[in-house]
Amino acid sequence: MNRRDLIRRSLLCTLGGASLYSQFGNLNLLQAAALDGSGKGGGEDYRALVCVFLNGGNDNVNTVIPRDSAGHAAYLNARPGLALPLSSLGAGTHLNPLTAQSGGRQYALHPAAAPLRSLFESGRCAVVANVGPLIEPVTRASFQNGSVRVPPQLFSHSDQQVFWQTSRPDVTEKIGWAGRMADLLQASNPNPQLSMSLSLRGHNFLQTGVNVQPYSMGTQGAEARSGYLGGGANMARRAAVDALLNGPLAHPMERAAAQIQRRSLDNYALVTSALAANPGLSTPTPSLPGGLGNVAPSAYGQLVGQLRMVGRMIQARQQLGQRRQIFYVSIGGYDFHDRLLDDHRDQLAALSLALQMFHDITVELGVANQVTTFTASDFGRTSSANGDGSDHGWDGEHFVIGGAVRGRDVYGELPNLSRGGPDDAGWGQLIPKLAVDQYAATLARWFGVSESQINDIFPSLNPANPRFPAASGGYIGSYRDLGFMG
Amino acid sequence: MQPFAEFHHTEPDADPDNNQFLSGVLRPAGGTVNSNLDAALDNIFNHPNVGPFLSRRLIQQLVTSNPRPAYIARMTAVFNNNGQAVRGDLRALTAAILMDPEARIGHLTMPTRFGKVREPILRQTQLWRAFGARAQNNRYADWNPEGHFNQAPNRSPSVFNFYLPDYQRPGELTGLGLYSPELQIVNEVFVTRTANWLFNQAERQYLGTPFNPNPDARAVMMEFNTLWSLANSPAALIDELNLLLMSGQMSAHMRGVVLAYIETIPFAAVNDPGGRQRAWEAVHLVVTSPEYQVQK
Repeated sequence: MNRRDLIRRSLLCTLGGASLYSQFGNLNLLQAAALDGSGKGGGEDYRALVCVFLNGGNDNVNTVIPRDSAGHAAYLNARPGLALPLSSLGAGTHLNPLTAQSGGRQYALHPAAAPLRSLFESGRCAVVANVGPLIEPVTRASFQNGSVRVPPQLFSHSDQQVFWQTSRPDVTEKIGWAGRMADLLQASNPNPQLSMSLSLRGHNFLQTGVNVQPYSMGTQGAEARSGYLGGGANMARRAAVDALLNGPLAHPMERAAAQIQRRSLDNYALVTSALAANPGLSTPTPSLPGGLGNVAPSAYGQLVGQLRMVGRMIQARQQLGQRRQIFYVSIGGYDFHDRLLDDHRDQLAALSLALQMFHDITVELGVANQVTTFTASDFGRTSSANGDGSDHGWDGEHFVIGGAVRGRDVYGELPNLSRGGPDDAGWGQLIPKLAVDQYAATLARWFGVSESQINDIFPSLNPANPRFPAASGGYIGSYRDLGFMG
Repeated sequence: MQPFAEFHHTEPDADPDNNQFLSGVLRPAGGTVNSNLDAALDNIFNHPNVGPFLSRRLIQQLVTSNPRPAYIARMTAVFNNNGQAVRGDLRALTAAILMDPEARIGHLTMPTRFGKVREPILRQTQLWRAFGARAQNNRYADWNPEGHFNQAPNRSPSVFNFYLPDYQRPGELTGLGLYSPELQIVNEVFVTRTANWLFNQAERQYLGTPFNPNPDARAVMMEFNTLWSLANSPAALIDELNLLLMSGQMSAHMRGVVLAYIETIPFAAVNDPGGRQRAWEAVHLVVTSPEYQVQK
């Protein structure tokens, strides 16, 4: 879609309420289905997606670790100095998936990720293996001889974040796949005033839509404007501030700046009163285990702050008038070029304990089956070691958590870690076999996006011209649906 | 940039990628670690894209987010040759950027395209400069700029800085094809936190404020004395702020709104021997206004 098409479609949508992305789709029908809850298994029609974005590129190779003898030997050989010894991967770290991996391959989770491992073992967490940005399938040979299209600016943080979050490298405007979902579904929320895209970490491309933009909030909720709220002397000042924001404003950048301030002021009362109308969360914040470094408490504090506010916004969904919510949570520090062993351990300990806490919150709120949390990251890291860390890679392993997840399974096949092996693009940069589009579309379908809308959000999956092959190997779904959502 | 010999390949290598620089240029044979680094950097420096790349980014930082291609081309010529056959003279380039016709009259010839959103932290520094701010200890301390500006000096979260030069705010700006890099770090949280911070600056961070009569040695305090004497005439007060903070570009609408509000405030009151409240209220309205937020 070029820029003109986008503008045209957004104009059509504004004028006529027609579906943005589909010439077939009918937003009204979709809304009706959402409103009566048909096909959602009865009960309250509510669903939320929570993206936990790991900024910097997670070291996937030390996250899900081969533990069968051949796999572990290849892992040891690939990254001397970084590989965890087999002796540290005791039974308490083992993943015991319901479906055996091919070739007798077995895996463990990093020992610091014990809470995540217990979510996996209890069927609340799935591992999606070897996923990353792809335009079409890539092999080592086709990559090295340049005969295949690959994501632009591979191995670059900002560009690969954009690809992960938009899956549309062909479109100049960075419109995210969750933003495109929100464009389609926003009007079905009983109160469409507040964006269903809620960001706990400010700007991101994932939630950037054509019409629906993320609403940013802090870990304490909405920001109150000084000298503006309440009565008395503030009333006249408030009128002046409003008059300046409402214009007329001659310059489009002034109008954009004013719009952001307006959204902040106009949603403050709704968000603040909705949060205040609820009792808060009773799930405690567990303490980190001992033996960790300085990175863990800082990362944990940030994640807990964001995820607890996500929990409170879920708790307040009725007051907010939201039956669909998409949350963006993010944590930095994943660019493990050095100090990998300590820092990665700390980050995984913080992440996995925070994710477990958040799952417990969804249980407390009675929405464990209606909230799905998933991880994403710039890229995975090289299987090779640079001395003290690993460098920018390509594929990654990711976690999907929630009661609706077909957990305790590994979807896809983990990459072959052999140096110069079939999955090695060079220097241990591992080639993905599953595309971000496939991962995202599986989540989108669960969230309530129709098949034709999936074709529009993810053109690479359109059955008229699919760019990815039918299911093979280690996933049980189709090329359009990796199967990890029940 | 410092090379580390122990991590450097100098011997011929089976992998041709290890000998190839940008644009297919090959590493000169027989070099040392330092000569290799110099050769690699020179090769990048001499690439024809460096001039337009650097020119565009500097123009975006200094003048306007959406320079005309011809403006970038003129600056590229200066980067390529400063007039004395020197490539990469940044002093000459910066001067040319600021003195180019587009920089000087773009606000007249392209009034709805020219300009840039002010970086949040530059709203603070402009306020400090405009009103002679200083602390008794001669430092300019802000302990947590990230908390209210979403940025802090020398603390960008990654090598990609605080925002991308190609960021487009969705909506009208994207429709117009305009970049607005600074808006990437402005959102519902930080637009209000920045406004609140500037409200506090206006109300409490000037010498003579009743809220902070005895500032400690670290407090950076502005001087509003000139404004107080003007405040007996609200129109004169607003003209001064328009000149100091907005290059005389305040719209008639904005001037009318600020004037009407300031006129509701008595010139003197308890705790206000004259002009204090009018001055800080006017500063607050100006520096949190959308018109001020765009430098044109």
